[in-house]
Parts: sequence; structure tokens; C-alpha cells
Amino acid sequence: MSKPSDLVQGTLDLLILKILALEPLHGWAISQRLRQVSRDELQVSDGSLYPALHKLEQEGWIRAEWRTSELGRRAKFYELTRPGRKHLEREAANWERLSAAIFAVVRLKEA
Amino acid sequence: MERRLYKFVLLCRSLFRPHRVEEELDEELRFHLDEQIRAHLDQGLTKDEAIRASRLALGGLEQQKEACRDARHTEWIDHMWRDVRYALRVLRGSPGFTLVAIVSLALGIGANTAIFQLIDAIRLRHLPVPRAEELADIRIAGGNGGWGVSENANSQLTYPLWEQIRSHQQAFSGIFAWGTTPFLVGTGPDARVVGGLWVSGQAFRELGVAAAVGRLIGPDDDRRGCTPVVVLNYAFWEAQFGGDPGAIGRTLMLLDRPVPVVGVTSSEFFGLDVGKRFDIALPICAAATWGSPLDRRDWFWLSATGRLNRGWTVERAADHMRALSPGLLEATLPSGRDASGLERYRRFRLTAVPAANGVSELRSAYGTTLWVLLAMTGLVLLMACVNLMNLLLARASAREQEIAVRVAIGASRRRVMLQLLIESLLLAVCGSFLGAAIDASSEWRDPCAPHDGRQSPPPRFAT
Repeated sequence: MSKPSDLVQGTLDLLILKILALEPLHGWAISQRLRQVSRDELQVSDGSLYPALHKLEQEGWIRAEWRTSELGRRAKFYELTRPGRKHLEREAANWERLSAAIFAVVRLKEA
Repeated sequence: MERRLYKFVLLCRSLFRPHRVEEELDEELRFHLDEQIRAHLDQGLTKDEAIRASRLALGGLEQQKEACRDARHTEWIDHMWRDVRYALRVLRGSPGFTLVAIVSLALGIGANTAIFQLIDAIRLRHLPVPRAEELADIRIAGGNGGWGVSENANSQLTYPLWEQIRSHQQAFSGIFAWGTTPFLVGTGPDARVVGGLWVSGQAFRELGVAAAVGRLIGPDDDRRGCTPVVVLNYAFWEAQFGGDPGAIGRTLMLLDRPVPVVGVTSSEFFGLDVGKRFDIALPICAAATWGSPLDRRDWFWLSATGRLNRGWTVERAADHMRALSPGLLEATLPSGRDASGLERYRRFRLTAVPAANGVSELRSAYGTTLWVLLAMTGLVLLMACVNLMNLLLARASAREQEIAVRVAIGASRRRVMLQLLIESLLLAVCGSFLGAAIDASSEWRDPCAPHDGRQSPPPRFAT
């Protein structure tokens, strides 16, 4: 995910929303969590993380709040809004359908 | 809905507290950078290597900020504001051109607006009565051609003709007659001529005019042999009686008779003749008091107006009146005329015309002239615009270098065009304001409003 194309940008949004669905986090923690959960498969370039976060905030799917982090420093925590949760469900369902379709084609056996 | 509210709040924040937003962005990215450095330090890199690696990972602080700002989609407001400021500077830099442009626009717009207001007041406004579009006037097609005696331009019918129409017509749910005439009010050196309005008993009811004080002329006041009563116009009442409700019951000296005042019309009603204003209203039967025989068959002094029946159009009413004409005219045939005169009378045909805009001597006399005047001022404005276009074109060719530089450092075509458009828009806005100021300060007054210094209604602008 070095240069975000349209499709990749969309998936990044989905991943971020899903991570935030579990608990509110700040930007650094989100990138760490992504790396951790995907067992390093997904290496989100930090260059595309923050624009994605700001865009999601602008769209109203996530909400930002300044709180103190675990280490005592002020950090900007993001959390999912109610419309954001619905959007996440919709997008996740779409993604599952899409990936199932791709999977079906890829698995075609040669005749 | 919740989403839109949140988006709106964000937009306001970017607009009104941009510094705060910038600070937060900076703080957020620095936090990430510091955490990244600490992670690298934990992995065992030296301080310098850690810093370098973190910077590489994040991709440059300023670029990141720019990317985030772009993602926020509020850039366009910032751009527009910057364009406006730049346009102002450019215009200030060439004051001669700016002045010429604004003044020529202002004159064109101001002249157009003034003429349009005049036309609006005289031609386009409806009478201030409810459902004015249902009203139609009855008149003789082509006028009476000078036959008999006509009081003024509003005189279409004689009293006997009016009586006949009233009893035989079927096109109107309600019908009334009216006429305008000057009246001498007061005695001695204070005597003045005011605008008088004859009304039949149903007039105020059909027009839906309310009484501000007292009562208005009704059907009982309009019978043959009646004693005259007078109803005042609101403005006349304010001017003459100081708005005193005790004016009801006092008498007004009309010609040589004291006539009791019974009421005052509400302030919006100025009469049926656009451009003229009535001061006092009297029942039609009262004309006999001052020696005008009602039954004169060759004296034209009334107009008849009515509300069309539901479903009737003006054309259908006109056909109906035309069909009735021979009978009505025969019944009101005047005596003492020679055969050719009588024949001419018999040939009159009644018709109906829309009366929503009121009748107007001003309109009939100056109607076409006004439209021609509007066309002329329109052309003047067009010429001013073409002039301005030439000036702008000349300036644009002189600014080629500036635009080339802007494009070279990365401005998109859209932004360059937008900036030039904003300049023209600024000129247009300044020109409009100046034009409006010229218009408002000029001596123009609505001809339908009373002429005693009351506030005229706000002007309608043609820009």
C-alpha cells in the first residue's frame, strides 16, 4: 500500500473503521494495531494513514477527541460515530461479496 | 442528519478558527513522529538513525500536513478568500480602469433599475385587492368615439347603460360602477380641488376593501334620491383630520354642501386608476345632488368592473357582453338626436377587458413609450458591458506574463480562470451597489403612493 489508488484507498478506510469499531485509538496506535492484527502482512505506509483519517473525519464517519494517552501525553483519539458504524457494516458486506466473487473465479479449475 | 451536523461544525471550525486546526494537525503528526522515533530507539537504532528513519516513514511533515488539508475538502474556501484578496489588490493597482469600469456599470444598472421600477409601478403591479385577476372592466369596444359627452378617460358608460348592464348581465358574480372626478373641498381661501371617486353600492364589497375607521359606502347608500355621504381615503384622512377617529360624523364641505363623513378606507387602497389617487369617495346617486341628472343618456362618466363568475374567462365575458349589446343599447337610446347619431349609438358593442392592473391614463398614454425607454436603457447597459469587455480584454493581453508565471509554478487552468472571474465579479458587485445607491438617492417616487411624504414601498431591483 505505498501509493493509494482508488481501490486501495477504499480498503484502507474499511480497515481503519473496523479497527476503531473495537475501541477508540489515536493514529499511531491504529497503525500499530493494523500491523499486529494482520501479522505484518499489511504495512500501512504512515503517509497514507493520516490523510485517510482526516477524510473519514470530514465525512462524518469518525469523530476526534483530544485525550491523554497511556504515557501521559495529549493525543488525538478517533472513535466511530453511529452513522460510521452503519457505513462500516455496509462496506464490510460489500467487501465480502466482492472477495467471494474473486475467490470463485480464481479457484476455477482448468478443464 | 447527525453526520451533516458534524460536517457543518467541522467546516465552521476550519473557517473561523483555522489556526487552532493547524495547531492540532501539527501536534497530531508530531505525536506520531515521536512515537515512531521511540519505537526505533527501542529497536536499537541510534538517535540520528531513529529520527531519519521516522521521517522517511512518515514522509515529510509538511507534505503530510498538505495531504491532510487536501483530504479535508475545505480548501476551496481558503482559495476563494485568497483570490478575492488578490483581485482587490490587482484592482487597486490600476485605479483608473477600476473607476471607469465601476462607474459605467453603475450608470447602466441604475438607469435600467429606475425605468424598470417605473414600469413595474404603472404596468405590472396588481391592484391591492384580493384576487385581482378575477376583475374585468366592461367598456365600449373602441370607445364612444367622441359621441355625447365624456367626463375623462375612465368614462365608458352612461348611468342608464350601467343600470341595464347590472340587471341583464350574467358573466359576473358581482359588478360595480365607479368614476373619477375632481371635487372642490372646503370654502373660501382654503378651498382645494381633490380627487373624487364615485362608487356604486357594491363597489367596496366587491373589491374587498376594508374600513380603517367607521364604515364604507354600501348598497343602502346608493339609491335614487339619496343623501350624500362621503368616505375618505386613508392618506387624505391623515392629512386633513390628523388621523383623528372623531372625524367620523364631522362634515366636509363639498362644493357648497356639507356632507357627513362616515368612514375611512384602509391604507392600501388608493383607487382603481393607477397613477391617480382618490381622496374622497361618494355614492353614485349623490351626483344628482350637485345637479347631474342620472338619467342623461349621452353623458359618459362611469366605468363598470366586475368579478368574473367561476370558470368564465375574460373572452367569454366579452362575447357575452357583445351579445347583450343590441338589446341594452336599444333600451337606452337617447332622444333628441338625428338618425345618423342614433345609428352610431346602436353600433356600439360592449366588451370586457382584464382589470387586474387597474385602468390607467398613465398607462394608456405612456404605455409604449415606457417599453421603448426600457429597451433604450437596456441597450445602454449592453453597451457599457461591451465596453467593459474590451477593457478587460486589453488588460488580459497585458497580463499574459503574469498568468504564464502562475501556470509555470503549478496553478491549474481552473484556478487561473476562477481568479479572473472573481475580479470581474468584484467589479460587477461594486457597480451594482453604486447603481443602487444612485437609484435610491434620486428623486424617484412611486406614483401610486400618497404624495404627502409617507414612505414609498421598497423598490424592486432589476439586477
